[in-house]
Amino acid sequence: MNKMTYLWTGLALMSILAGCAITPTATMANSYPRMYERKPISILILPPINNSTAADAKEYFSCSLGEALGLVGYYPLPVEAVFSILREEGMYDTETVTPVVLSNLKKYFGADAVLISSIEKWDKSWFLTSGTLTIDAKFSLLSTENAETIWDYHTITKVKLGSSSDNIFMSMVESAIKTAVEDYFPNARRANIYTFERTIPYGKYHPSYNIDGERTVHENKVGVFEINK
Amino acid sequence: MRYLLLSMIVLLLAACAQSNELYYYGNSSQSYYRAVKYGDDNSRLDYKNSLNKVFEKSAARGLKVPPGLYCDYAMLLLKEGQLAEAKVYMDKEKAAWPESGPMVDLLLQRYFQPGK
Repeated sequence: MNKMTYLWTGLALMSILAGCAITPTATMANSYPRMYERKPISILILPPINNSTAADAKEYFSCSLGEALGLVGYYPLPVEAVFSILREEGMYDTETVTPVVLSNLKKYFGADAVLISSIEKWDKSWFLTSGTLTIDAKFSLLSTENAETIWDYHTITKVKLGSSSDNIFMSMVESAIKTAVEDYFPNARRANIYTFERTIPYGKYHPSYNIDGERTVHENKVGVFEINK
Repeated sequence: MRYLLLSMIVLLLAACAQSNELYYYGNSSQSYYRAVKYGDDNSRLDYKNSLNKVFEKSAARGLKVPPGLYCDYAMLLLKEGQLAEAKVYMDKEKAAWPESGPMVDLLLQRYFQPGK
């Protein structure tokens, strides 16, 4: 082979290797050791903190968190009952969770941990023949015993709202309508279920409880998920 | 040899038929969301019906009712003024999920005392 062939072969190999870059991962046990030490069972879900521009995102986001946590084996304290009491006590919009508050949540509700979530982004965008619904959320679990963070994750879920039409004009109209009328809730629900299934150690009631330490998560505890409609 | 093959097929089919699902939630979360969004009698009734469906399907499939749903149903009954029936479901939650004990006791003390 001549020099040029070697050069082109080398460039091709480098391109392939760059394209095969591996996502840095770590095991659940290494990423969240306190989850395996503390073994929380009951989780109190606090009303999400809404940092997005959608005023009503808080309620819609919270309505599927109980199911998402239940499916991975935890006992999520009934959301509506908890929210009712927090409203009556003037704590529904509280965004600061102090150790004293956590201690009281343990004392009165029996919660082992508290789920804090924040909605960073909740919006739709549309360009030509496709739209995207973006749900950007951060989660963390705080121990009610000592207020330490025992689990956290940041997810960005993008729901692709394209069109199946071959006609470009119809495709533009269809995707614009889809983007305008898309209901947030089913996608938020899927995003929450997807997130917890993949990023949190399993709880007591899951068949793989305490034997899932070798499962992996992104090393930086951040994930971008795409859902195609 | 024929019987061995038949037995293997039966065992394989039985394994496939066994559900891997932990719980059956149905559309209860969606119904809850709509009850929160609209806050009217129709949406609350839909939510109540969706929970009833969860109870029925869970029993039919031999699954435990998902955590918190008995309590959610009790809260709906409470809103309708059906205290006795609501307490039945609170007790079901406590029996099914020991972790719910402090929460259920708090709710009983807060909402089920005479004169409240």
